[in-house]
Amino acid sequence: MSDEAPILQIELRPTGLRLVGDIDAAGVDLLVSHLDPLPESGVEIVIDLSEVAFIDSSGFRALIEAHQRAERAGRLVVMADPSPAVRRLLDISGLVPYLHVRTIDT
Amino acid sequence: MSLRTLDEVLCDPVRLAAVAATGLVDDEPDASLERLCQLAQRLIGAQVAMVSLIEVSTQFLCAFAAADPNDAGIVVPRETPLSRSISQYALESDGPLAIPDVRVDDRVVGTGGVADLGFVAYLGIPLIDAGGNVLGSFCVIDRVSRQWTTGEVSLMVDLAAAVMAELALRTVLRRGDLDRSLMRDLIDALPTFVGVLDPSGRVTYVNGAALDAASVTLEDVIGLPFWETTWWSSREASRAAVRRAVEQCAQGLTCRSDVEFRAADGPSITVDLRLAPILNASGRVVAMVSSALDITERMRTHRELIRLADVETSARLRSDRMFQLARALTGAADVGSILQRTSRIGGELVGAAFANIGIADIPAGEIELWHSAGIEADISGRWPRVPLDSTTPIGKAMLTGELIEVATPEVMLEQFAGGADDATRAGFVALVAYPIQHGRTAMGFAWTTPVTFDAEMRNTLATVVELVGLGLQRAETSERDRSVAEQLQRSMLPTRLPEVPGASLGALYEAGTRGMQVGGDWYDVCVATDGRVLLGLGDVVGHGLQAASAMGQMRTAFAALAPTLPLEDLVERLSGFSADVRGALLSTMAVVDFSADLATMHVISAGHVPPMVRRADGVVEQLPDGGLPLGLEGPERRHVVRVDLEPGDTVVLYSDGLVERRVESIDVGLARLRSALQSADTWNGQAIVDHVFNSLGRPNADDVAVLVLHREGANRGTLDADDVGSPRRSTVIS
Repeated sequence: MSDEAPILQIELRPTGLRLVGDIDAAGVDLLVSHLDPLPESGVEIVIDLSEVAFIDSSGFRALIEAHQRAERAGRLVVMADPSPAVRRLLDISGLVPYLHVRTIDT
Repeated sequence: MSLRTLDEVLCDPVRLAAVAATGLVDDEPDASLERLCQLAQRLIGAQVAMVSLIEVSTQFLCAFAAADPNDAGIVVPRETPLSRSISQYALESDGPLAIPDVRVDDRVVGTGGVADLGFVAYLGIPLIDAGGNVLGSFCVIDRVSRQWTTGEVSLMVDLAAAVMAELALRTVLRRGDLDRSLMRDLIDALPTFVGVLDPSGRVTYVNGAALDAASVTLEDVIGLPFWETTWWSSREASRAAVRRAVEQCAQGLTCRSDVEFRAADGPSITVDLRLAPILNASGRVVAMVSSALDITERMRTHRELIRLADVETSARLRSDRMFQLARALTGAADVGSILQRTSRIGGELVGAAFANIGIADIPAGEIELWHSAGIEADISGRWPRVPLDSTTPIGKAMLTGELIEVATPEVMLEQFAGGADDATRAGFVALVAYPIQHGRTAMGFAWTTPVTFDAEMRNTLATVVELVGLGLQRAETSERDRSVAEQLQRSMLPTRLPEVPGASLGALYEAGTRGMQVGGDWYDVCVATDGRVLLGLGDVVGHGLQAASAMGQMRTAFAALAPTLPLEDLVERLSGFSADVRGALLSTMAVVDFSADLATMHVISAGHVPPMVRRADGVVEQLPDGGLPLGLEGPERRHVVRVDLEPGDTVVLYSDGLVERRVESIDVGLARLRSALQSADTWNGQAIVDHVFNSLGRPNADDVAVLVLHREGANRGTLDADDVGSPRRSTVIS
């Protein structure tokens, strides 16, 4: 019974993925299916988080696992332009020094 | 204890069943038990640590860790005759067995075993389950004679508790601890039919609800093929359907079928029978669990809807929507989603713009209201609860058991003046309220365009309300099932907090309210041997039994390690531990280490929401965020924050479920918590916890854990001028 609007939408981009919506237990399987194996987008994989309204611990876990897989493969996952709410959750979770977080100015 | 009694203990069928139910005998060594062995071996500095289970005449090694890789040879073969094992003495003792030198100890001399392999010192803790059965032992051994210290013995006792928690959990997870009291109590507490079958389909256990339904006793049905039991005896077709389902389930498939069920007296009913296989690690079916839900009422409603559909086309269209509603409600597990689905589909059916559900809170003399969308939030926000009386349409419907129609705003003003203003503001021109369950639940609808309450409209409304009533009943049942999983989690949290002189402690755990999801919040309080007090509160990623298992292990590891390790080492050790426990990686945790006089504390946060300190004067300080989650290694060491405490100060740990709401920044939730703490008008730890939970609740339906330590001794009267405004800042010291 899932006639509610999809919680997480994933758009494929030449450089990686753009995520829209909430990343929680309901959407995390979909996200993992796009990150394992990693997208074929060159050395750098950009995950655009600008339109993510909420992320919970299972969402962080999927991102961290993608980060670790990329490191092992000599590649780099960039968490790009997190929305203020996600940026705050990244701060509290202590993950900013661990993940590659890039904020695009202006 | 005489030898004969030892034999009796060895052969006790309940004990042997409990050993078998762990699923460890003849299985591969268990990774999490090996991790606990490693902890014991390293912390004690012994040569070898191992977990073994005791069968009738043999001892089986389940997990071990050795300082010297060459010692791995001692585990081959993993099965040894009990006569050559020191662990047999574990059966006779209910406490630690500490032997400095097995060569000269009267109790064990001549046993051989360990001594033959060149080991001399033995420290073993019996593994005793909740039913008092000794399943085996957890021990460390050494090559040289050594005097075991009380600290080492108590560390082993704590780690043995972690081993036992792991064994109990494995039993529950892998096979269902069906012969044991906990699981049996849990199954018996379920109001629905639950039965357990062996792989050939014979009954090994059924719960009280099932026995009561047919007025039979366990002895009447145990050992019978499930399809030949009394419940299916009314029709040959039912027996055949049950037999088919059992045969498919034995192949590893989960099956459902609607079958006729014969109750002890009265008419036969239709049940939704579900059979689910329980698989062992290698995928073999070791048992089957059957459950049955009474769907007579649902079938009757469906038949009624089919009859309606035959009457006329418009009725058929309506009943299509009704079917949709019935189907949608089948998947709704709580009042919120029932309401959401009802207002969308049911609202369309009757043209209503808004719906709400009222549930009586009889002790409070109030009705709790759940509102659908379609109304301004500030209006619905004014009506979270109303008195349990006839001043509102929904209250009047609930109390009188009658349909209340408010056909115009004038009628509203005349009969229910209290809500008339807001009804007008919301644009309502007509309302109805229907009783669902007399005195307990009722439902309301509102229209923003004129409506005629003719027979057809009333019929439709009555059917929608009936479906909602069935949905609510089902939600109540699923709530009871969820509480079983919650009990499992609760059983792994401390039942009582230790007494800490000079402090008042409080704690709370509330499970989330989303379906069967039980989360992984844990907490514990330990008093170290030197008087330091350690508080830990953590959150394991994910939900369900795996999260509960990981949470249990994190908590037991914390309890075992906290009393003996410095704070930073403790967190590092737990971080390493979390990387090895299935499901515990990336969990978060805050640990507070109080000096024995409670005058200072040191805090490490591993990706956890920031602990708070409420000063005696009401000022609330939020400690810095940050720190990597457990299991990750960053470029720098974890920060330790030092805070000086005065009498009257309160330290608060909590999980993100208390403050996190997906529609707003977490800072809004943190601000809510700070103001709740500021307004806490109490000096008792538990009362502060309750105040915080009552103020914030569960904003995201997630698990909530709160742990508080209040340092006693503040003067409740006026504060000295010197105390007010003296700068007390927290400092990051590393």
